[in-house]
Amino acid sequence: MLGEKSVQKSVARLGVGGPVGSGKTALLERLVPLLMHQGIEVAVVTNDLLTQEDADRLKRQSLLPVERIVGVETGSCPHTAIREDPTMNLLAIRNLERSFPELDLVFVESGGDNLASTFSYDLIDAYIFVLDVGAGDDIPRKNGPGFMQADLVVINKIDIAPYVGADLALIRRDASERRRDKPIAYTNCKTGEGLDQVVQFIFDQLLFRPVRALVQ
Amino acid sequence: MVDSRLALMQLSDSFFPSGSFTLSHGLEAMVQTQQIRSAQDVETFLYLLLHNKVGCSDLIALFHAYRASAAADLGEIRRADQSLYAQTLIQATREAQCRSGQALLLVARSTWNDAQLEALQQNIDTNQTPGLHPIVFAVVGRAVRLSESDTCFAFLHNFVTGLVGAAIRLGVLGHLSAQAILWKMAAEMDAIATQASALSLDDMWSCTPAIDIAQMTHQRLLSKQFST
Repeated sequence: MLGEKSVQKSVARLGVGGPVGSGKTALLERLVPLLMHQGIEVAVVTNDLLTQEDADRLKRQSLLPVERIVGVETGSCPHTAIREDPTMNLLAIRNLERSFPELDLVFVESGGDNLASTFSYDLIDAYIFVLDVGAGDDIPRKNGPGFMQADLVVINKIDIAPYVGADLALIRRDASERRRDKPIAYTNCKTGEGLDQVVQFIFDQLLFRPVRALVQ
Repeated sequence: MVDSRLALMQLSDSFFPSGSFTLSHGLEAMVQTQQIRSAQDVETFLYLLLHNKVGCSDLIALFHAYRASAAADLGEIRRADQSLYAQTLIQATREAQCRSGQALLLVARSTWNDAQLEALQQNIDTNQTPGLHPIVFAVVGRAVRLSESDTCFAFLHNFVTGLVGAAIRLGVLGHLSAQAILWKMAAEMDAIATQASALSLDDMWSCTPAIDIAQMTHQRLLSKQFST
C-alpha cells in the first residue's frame, strides 16, 4: 500500500490537544511521572504557539532528560502543525525514535487551539482533548470537533467549578450525551484526581499491557 | 498516463505538507526589529532574496540536481547538494533546509513510487549527502515527470507564497496586497529561473548580509512563531 514505508510507526504516539490554558502541560506534568513509575519510557514533542515555553516548562520540571523534550515552532499555525501538515512533528518524532530506541510512548502536545482542533492520524495513534470547566458549562453543547472526535476527553480543573459558576453535573450530563460511548475523564491535576482513568486509557489503547496499581 | 500538470499543481500547492509554514527565512527577525514595516518592505525583502540568494545559489543547484536526476546520476545529485550546503553560510538556514528537504522527501516517498527517491533517502540516512530542500525538490520534480522549468517554478512558487503567508501572519501584509506582491514577483521568478538554468555549480554566489544577520539572530528572539 502506498504510504506505508514513510508513515510507518513504531513508538506509540498520543496527541494532547485543547484550548490554551486548559491544562495540557499540567496534565503531562502529572502523567509523565505516573507512566515512568510503571516502567514506561516517555518523550514529549511540544508545539508552542510562541517560543518554546511549554518545552522549557517541562524541562524545568526535570521530569525527563531534556533531550527527550523537543519543541516545534508552528509558524502561528498550531492547527496546521498537528493536522494538515504535521511533517515537522513527524521528523521530531523520528529523531527521538532514533536517539532513544527504548521509547514506548511519545506525547505530541498541541500549541493550544480552539474546539475545532483535531489531529491527523498519520501523526498520532490516538489523542486526548483537554478542556477545563472554567471555559463554561456549555462547552459540551458546542459540539466542537476536537471534543466530539477525540479518543479521550479530559475535563480538567473540576475543583474550580463552584468558583467560576460552572455546573459540573450539567457538564457531566451534556458531555456523556454528546460523546456517547467515547470515554471522558474528569481531572484535577493539582491533586491527581481522575488521572488513573487517563493512565488506564493509555495502557489499554496504546500500550496494550496491564497497568499496575498507581501511586500518585 | 496522468497529465503531469496535475502533479505540478499538487507539488506547488501550499496544501502539500512539507513544513514550509514554519519558516520565515529571517523575515520574523526583521519585522520584530522594525527593519520591515510595510508591504513595500516585504516586496524589497523578497526581491533581494530572489536575486541575491535563491536565484544565484538554490536554483543553480536545483537545475543541476534535476539534470543529474534525469541522467540517473546520484553522484552528481550529491555534488549539487554538497555544493549548496557549502554555499549556505548560516547554520540555522542549513538546518532548516535539511529539515524541509526531509519533510518533502517523507511525503513524496509516501505518495509516489520512485527508486531514486528511496536511494536519496538512504544516502541522507547514511550521511552521504545533507538532503537540502532545493535538491530534494529537483529529484521529486523529476520523479513526477515535471519539466525542469516547471520544477523550478513550482519551487519558486512554494518559496514566495510561503514567505508572503508568513508576512500576513506577522502582520505586515494584508491578503490583498499579498496577491499583488505575488504577481509582481512572477516577473522576478521568471528572470532568475532563466539566469540560473544557464549557470554551473561553480557560478553559485549569494550576498544578503542584512538578511543573513536577521537569520542568525532569529534564535535569540524573545518570542517567535517561526523556526527560522
